[in-house]
Amino acid sequence: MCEETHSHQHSGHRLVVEPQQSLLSNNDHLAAHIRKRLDNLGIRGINLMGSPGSGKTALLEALIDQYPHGNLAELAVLEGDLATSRDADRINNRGVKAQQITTGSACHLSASMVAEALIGVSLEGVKTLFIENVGNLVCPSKFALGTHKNVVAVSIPEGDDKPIKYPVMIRVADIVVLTKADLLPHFDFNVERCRQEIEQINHHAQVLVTSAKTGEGISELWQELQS
Amino acid sequence: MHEFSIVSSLLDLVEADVRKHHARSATRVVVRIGDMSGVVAELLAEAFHVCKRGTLAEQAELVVEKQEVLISCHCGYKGPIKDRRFICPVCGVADIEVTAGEEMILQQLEMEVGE
Repeated sequence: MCEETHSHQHSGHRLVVEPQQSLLSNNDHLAAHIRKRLDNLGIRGINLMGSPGSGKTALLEALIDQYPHGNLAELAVLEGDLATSRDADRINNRGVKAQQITTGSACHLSASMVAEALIGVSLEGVKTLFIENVGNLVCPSKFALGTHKNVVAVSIPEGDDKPIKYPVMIRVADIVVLTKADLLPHFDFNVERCRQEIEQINHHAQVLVTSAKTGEGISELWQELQS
Repeated sequence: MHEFSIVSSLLDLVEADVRKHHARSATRVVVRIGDMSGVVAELLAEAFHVCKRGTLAEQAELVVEKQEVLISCHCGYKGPIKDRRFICPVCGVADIEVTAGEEMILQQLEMEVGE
């Protein structure tokens, strides 16, 4: 991949160029390759982000539970975590192939981690690939992974001001999923105010209210993911 | 703290440019960081200072130019937003175009060339 680099000034032994290039262009290039590979295989990639404990893995479990049981081979999951394979184990126990990516201390997944993990996963027959990012509402937002949709989970116990406090993440969201809606009676979470604030940060984002416990909103989420 | 990843990516770009131009080393690196890029300029500078050792940018000075968020609205408004809300401060609509402030760009690179 060649970028336009424009030399415009020679002064003695100094050369000045203006690359005008994104600092993450290497990651972006690799993400574009992954995207192309997924497109060629007819796979839709979903990058699932959110704070630790926002219910990302439970959301995946709920999505799996509402998927036709005979077709679970159409789903695959990459699980990003600092340590342990617990989340991948949870998904495997549901009958869906999952590959754990342990990042050590990295606070986000990068396209290179995804490319490497994909070597270990058979993508034959897969239609939807979920990538559960490291629990973090800041860092993952800037690292493209080659997926088609960004889903950001915000849980009811986190508070309705979470989106306005973390606008950079909301800016990249295609879908904001308010999780753990079964807890709404116990928290002062104003769903309407939260929707409004999300709209004021990113008016392209869809907002869905879900509960992995009751199954509320999960089929709507499947529809949005497949649209 | 993703600033370290970003700096290591920046250093890769800088080293590639230095080699491409057959220069000896980078002497000045200018980046433009948007207020809503998700990067903290101070942390970026700190990470650069640590990570540049042993690279072709070891002697380089880092200049961080901050860029505020600018939008353009159908009503004709062009300018900054208020309270980090991506709506037009004049007419209030959310259907605006962000023209600056979310980027992180390697703007300019000064290198020392051979004899």
